[in-house]
Amino acid sequence: MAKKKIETQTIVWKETVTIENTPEKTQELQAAFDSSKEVLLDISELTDIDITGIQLLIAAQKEATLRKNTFKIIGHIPPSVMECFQSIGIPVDKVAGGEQFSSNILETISSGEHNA
Amino acid sequence: MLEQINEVFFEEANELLESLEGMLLSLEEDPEDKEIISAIFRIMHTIKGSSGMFGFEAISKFTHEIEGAFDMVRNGIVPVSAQLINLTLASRDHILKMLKGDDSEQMKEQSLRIIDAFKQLTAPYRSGTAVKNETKERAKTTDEHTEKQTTWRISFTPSETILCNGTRPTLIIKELSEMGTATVLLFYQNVPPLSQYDPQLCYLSWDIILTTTHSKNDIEDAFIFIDEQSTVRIEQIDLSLIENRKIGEILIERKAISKKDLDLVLNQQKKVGEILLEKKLISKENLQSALAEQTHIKSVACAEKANADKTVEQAAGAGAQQSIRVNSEKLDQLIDLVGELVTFNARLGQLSQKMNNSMLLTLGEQSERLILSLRDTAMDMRMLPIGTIFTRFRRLVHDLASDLHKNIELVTEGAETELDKTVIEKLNDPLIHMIRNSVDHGIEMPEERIAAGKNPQGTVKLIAQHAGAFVLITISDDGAGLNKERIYNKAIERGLITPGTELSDTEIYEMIFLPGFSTSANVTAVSGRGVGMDVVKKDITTLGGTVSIETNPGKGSNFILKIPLTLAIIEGMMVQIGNAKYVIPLTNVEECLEFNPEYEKDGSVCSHIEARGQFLPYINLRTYFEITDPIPTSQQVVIVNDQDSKLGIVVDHVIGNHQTVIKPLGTLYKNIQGLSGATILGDGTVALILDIFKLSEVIRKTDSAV
Repeated sequence: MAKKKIETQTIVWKETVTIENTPEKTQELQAAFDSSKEVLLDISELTDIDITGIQLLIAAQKEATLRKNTFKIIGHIPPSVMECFQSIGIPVDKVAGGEQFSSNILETISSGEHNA
Repeated sequence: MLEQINEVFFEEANELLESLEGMLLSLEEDPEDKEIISAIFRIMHTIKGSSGMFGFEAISKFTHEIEGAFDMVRNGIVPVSAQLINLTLASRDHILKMLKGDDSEQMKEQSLRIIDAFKQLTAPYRSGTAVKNETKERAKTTDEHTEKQTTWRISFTPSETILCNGTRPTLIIKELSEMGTATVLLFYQNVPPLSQYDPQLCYLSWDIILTTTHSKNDIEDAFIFIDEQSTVRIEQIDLSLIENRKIGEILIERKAISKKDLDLVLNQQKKVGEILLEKKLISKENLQSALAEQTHIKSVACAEKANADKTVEQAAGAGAQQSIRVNSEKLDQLIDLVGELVTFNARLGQLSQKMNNSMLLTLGEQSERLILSLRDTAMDMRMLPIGTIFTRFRRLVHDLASDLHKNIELVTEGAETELDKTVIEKLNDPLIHMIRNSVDHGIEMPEERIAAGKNPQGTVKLIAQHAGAFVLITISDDGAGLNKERIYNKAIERGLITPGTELSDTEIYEMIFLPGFSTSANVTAVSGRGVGMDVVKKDITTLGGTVSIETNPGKGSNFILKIPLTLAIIEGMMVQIGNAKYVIPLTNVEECLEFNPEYEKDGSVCSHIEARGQFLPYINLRTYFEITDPIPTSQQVVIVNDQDSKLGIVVDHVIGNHQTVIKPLGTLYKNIQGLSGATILGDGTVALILDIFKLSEVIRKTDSAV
């Protein structure tokens, strides 16, 4: 693995992350993973997220596991986004109290893929 | 023991029959109301069951027939008709008689007659049992659909390209979640790492455990817009097995593992889910999903059980509020004791005042607060909604109207207004009289009503409402109204007034309260015998209430009863004359003034005083009660109202507010005018309670005599 110049990089998602803009958000995240050891994602200003956005979070989590990097979601999760998570079955209640939507929440993904 | 059980049965049956009456009358108004029909059926069913259980075979057999008829009504085979309702009302009365132990031959014949009538009524609809059964079956299944909850396992795997054609799986899941209790399980193992991620594709899939009253069709409808590559599997979860559902069983049913695999690992000690996971027989997702399903089913089962318990409770209460049955005598006893406590506390208060011990004063105040709230609670327990007697009147009006061939609707308002139990009991007879009057004299025959341009259906309204410490009960009809001339002429005829006497409208109307007064041209079975309104007035007056009349010729009349909320304890104002103390009900008191005797005519009982620019008649109690104690230098006058007018009561001096527990006066004092009762004071002496209405009458009589 190549040496990282930047230790931590924070990406901020604002307004909406839906199918229209997920391609660019994917690239943005990809670039961050390429250049940093730790990627932080601030979604406190996000108002709407759809399936593609949520998939992107999961994909990023898997990417981090694969690269042995850290991927964390920081900042307070807005209620509307929280509702999106809950409605499709992500148990957000586990993170609602904490300040981070950390790797714990998606832990099952990484272990899940072994058996998939 | 057996007697006690029988007692419970009788009480229950009586209550059921009472509510049955109300329901039947409601059904008459709204024959389509399925809930009432089912409730009636249930009542019949309960009576049948419990009477059988307690060995009242005759009742059980009789009720069985009616239950059968109502089963047909419930299933929409037999329509609700006036005949059916009347017949059921008759059966209800019949059951009531049977309950009272009447088992004469006559009763048995009557039973057969009613049963025959029911059979005749249902006969035309009985043809073709096959059809009947089919309808019944269908009704049953619809019932199940609307009432029973089913738990479904919905496995939804959208195609990868589902997002490209604009379908949003989240909306589908949301729609499903809104159908009932849902547990949504997300599977994201197919989501690739970021480097391989295509943002246009859908990698997720779901299991949704849904407990809902909706049918499978409704669930399928939610998936109507998905593309062909997506897969949806909807399976019903058998809830009957949930009691001992093991995680392994769920997994087998879900085809995640075979029974053999499960048995193999079951021999080990660890938790079956963990072991299965370890052995890689299932994925973590599988386990997670199954666990969630288990949780979901457990919670649904719990909720269902709680629901069932609630239904049982509701059925037991027959729609009533949660309550316990207490003998009303015990309540009366409680009120008596609270009354004693109030008196006792007054003594304590007096003593502490006298000793001027601050400790004692605090304790006295504290106990007073406690006793007052105890009093309020005890009083509250005696309060009953007046609606309990309103139901009886619906039957009364129904029966009277059909006897008189009139078309009358009884409208009740404020049935939830609460009144003291004893007051409600004493109100029953006067109200029956007044409603009879309204139905018989007030409402005209349908033809007359049509001729007068009115709705052929007359309305009798029974309205109860709170007004301070009183409850106003209005009995109004939209009938012809009181005929002033006829009352006047009748009064002359009966020698109550001399021809040419000038009377105000109110005075003329008041005449109907005189004994033996009836203007009805002919005596009917219902009313017109001249017994009634005077009794009504007397009854209401003993309750401390008043009756007033408003009438509008051609439009109808209102009879307004003003009834005090309670009889047992009142707030009073204590006054003193000579050595004796008197209590004036505080609800009547307007104000207290200094008595300026310069206007008083010597020796007379009543005269007038000026109070705030108004001349009011007053009564000097010292003179009226012939008290000979020395007159104090200054006297006070309490201005009271008797609903219609104000008057002054001259006393030596006003002491203040007093919690008054009313004790009846013995028969010895029955004829003393102006006293309504007595109360025991803190020091053990007796204070008399003044009857303002009587005193006002005394003043009026002396006035007209002068």
